[in-house]
Amino acid sequence: MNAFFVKGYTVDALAMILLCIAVWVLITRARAGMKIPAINKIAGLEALDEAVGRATEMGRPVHTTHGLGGVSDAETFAFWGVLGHVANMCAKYDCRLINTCRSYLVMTVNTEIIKQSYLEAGRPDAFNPDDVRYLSPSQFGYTTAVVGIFAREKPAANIMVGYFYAEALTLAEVGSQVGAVQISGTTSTAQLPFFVVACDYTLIGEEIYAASAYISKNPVLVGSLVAEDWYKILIIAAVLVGTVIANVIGPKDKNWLAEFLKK
Amino acid sequence: MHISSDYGVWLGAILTFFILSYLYKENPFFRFAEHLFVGVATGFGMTGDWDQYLKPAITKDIIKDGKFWEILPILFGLLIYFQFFPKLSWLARFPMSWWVGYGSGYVLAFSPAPFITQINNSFQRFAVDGSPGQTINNIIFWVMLMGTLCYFVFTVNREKNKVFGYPAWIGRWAIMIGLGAAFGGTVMARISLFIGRLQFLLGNWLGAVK
Repeated sequence: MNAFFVKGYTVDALAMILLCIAVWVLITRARAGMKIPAINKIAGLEALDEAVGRATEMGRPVHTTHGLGGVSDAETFAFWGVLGHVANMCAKYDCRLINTCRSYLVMTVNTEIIKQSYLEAGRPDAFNPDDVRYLSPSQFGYTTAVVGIFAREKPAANIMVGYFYAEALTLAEVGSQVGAVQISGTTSTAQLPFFVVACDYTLIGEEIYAASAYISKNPVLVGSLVAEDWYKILIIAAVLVGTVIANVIGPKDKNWLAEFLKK
Repeated sequence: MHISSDYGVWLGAILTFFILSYLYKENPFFRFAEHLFVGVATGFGMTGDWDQYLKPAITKDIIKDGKFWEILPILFGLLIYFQFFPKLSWLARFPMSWWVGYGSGYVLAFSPAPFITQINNSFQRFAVDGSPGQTINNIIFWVMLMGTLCYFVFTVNREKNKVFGYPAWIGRWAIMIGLGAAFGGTVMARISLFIGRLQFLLGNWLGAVK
């Protein structure tokens, strides 16, 4: 074994290759126009249009944030899918979009995404770079600044998708106080309860990763999501088989599937 | 009661009240504290970045140790400032692309590792000799795990496919129970934060409690 192939990660590597193959197969099928399964309804994502529509009617802005995640976090990637869609709708409806950031790197990417969405909607002139705001690298410095923005600008919709820490409840609570429709989503199990309590719709964990495919209905993205689902079904099957072996054959050290997964 | 004579404690107490004044409504005192906090935190972050990253890279790595190649990533990073020049803003996309690519690669390389271990650890024995409590725990764990996994399968219609539908229903309840338990735990932590602030006001500031 050399440094390139680390012992103990064989199954991880195989799992990754298998997922890549499944994604490739499903994307190829989707591109060829072959039938691929539909995605179940996700209420939180259905409500995005409604939230932007409400903000437009009320003449108040839409606020979006990805929380405290960095540019390398998977949750931030999921947020970008949502941000593109929301920015596109805001551009079409002529609704003001405020995006607040804690990370200057994420802010730079957000600016490009929003600018591109306005361009795609045919309204590049409506894009206001001052509404993409880097507030503070400090967790509660950022939170305090968002609280102030909420109090002064009173957004009618608050969309929070990404990775959140202790600021989650403060943001959701303040959004609720100013009467915003709130759509949230995070993989942070410690913060999810607060979102469920304080927000109108909450995307739980994995649902945020399905957002891009669900919103765009793009066959290629949907194909990737279906591949992930196949993978999850494989995991369910593995857990089922492993548990049957553990209970029928005997102690865990005799479980061949457990031993295989350690390789 | 012994009121503090430390101006730092007084400043902390006054700013605490400025922030808490938001509970009444947004006002100039809250706004002052908000902007002060944001400014100080940003300044602190910038000096931290300089002290921890830039200064060691320039003074130690490049000048002292002669690692001149480190100038290249610094120059590459500086490209991000081209976003302020509309005609050359496309140059800012290169460092951004690098970061996003790095992030994707990092997630792909390191995310699978924990979940293979998690799959392995989910092979629970239902009947644990001499420990009925552990037996019940293992069964609850396994049922909730399978239910939650089924809940997150997005492309199987749960209404029609009962093989996934029933476990997903259990999964939904499992998630809600789990979130409820987490809610209680975190609320307790938040209350302890509030108690900490009260201790500061009543103890450090007013000297009313020890």
